[in-house]
Amino acid sequence: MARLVAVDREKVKAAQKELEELEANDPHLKKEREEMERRFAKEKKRRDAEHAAKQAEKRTEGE
Amino acid sequence: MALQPFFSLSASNPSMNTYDPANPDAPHCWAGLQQFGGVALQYAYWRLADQLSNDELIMGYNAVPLDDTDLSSGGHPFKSCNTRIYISAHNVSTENQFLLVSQLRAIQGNPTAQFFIGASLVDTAELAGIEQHALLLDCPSGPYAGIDVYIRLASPIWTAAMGFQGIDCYLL
Repeated sequence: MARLVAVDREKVKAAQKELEELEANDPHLKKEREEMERRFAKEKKRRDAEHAAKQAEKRTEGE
Repeated sequence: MALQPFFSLSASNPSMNTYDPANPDAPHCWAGLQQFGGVALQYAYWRLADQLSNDELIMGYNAVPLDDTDLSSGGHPFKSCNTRIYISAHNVSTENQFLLVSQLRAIQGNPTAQFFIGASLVDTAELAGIEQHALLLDCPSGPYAGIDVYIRLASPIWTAAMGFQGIDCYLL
């Protein structure tokens, strides 16, 4: 059976702060987060470009 | 109507990017999974082939003691059997909530799962068989609602083992 635990906003805020402190003291954790952000941002850029190209293609077909 | 997961992660699908350029203002997330402490044994009944076919990662033989509540004990979160779930959600509000449902399996030696939000221990659950565990979080604030969740193996027996069968996140 599933067990449910609720974590309120104050606890989440405190956790975010702890996480920042943890990363400030641990360059490896910080580097990994930056690497993940970089990869995801790159993928977002790729999808945006692909979408823009498709839209441009549609417009050209419509003309 | 069935609720669709905001993201789902498992050992075979360790990252997810739900950004849709056709709906850039819709809620979306970047989520990732990192796991440490996998175990293969020559005499155990679990094999890597089985883990692969079941999409389950078995973690063990590096359990922290039950009274250890420090995520970085041993010097680093990755030095114990740990699963890190990295969440970065966009276009969500602090009025939203994340419902995180993880599925774990007890395998050997009274495994207990410790659940951390950031570095704070928020719950522990002694496992018996296959169990689902749900965390309901108020959405973090910030330009992207970023937070890390850790699920760590603890036990009085260092040879304890548990299986991680995946996690689903629902946006409420």
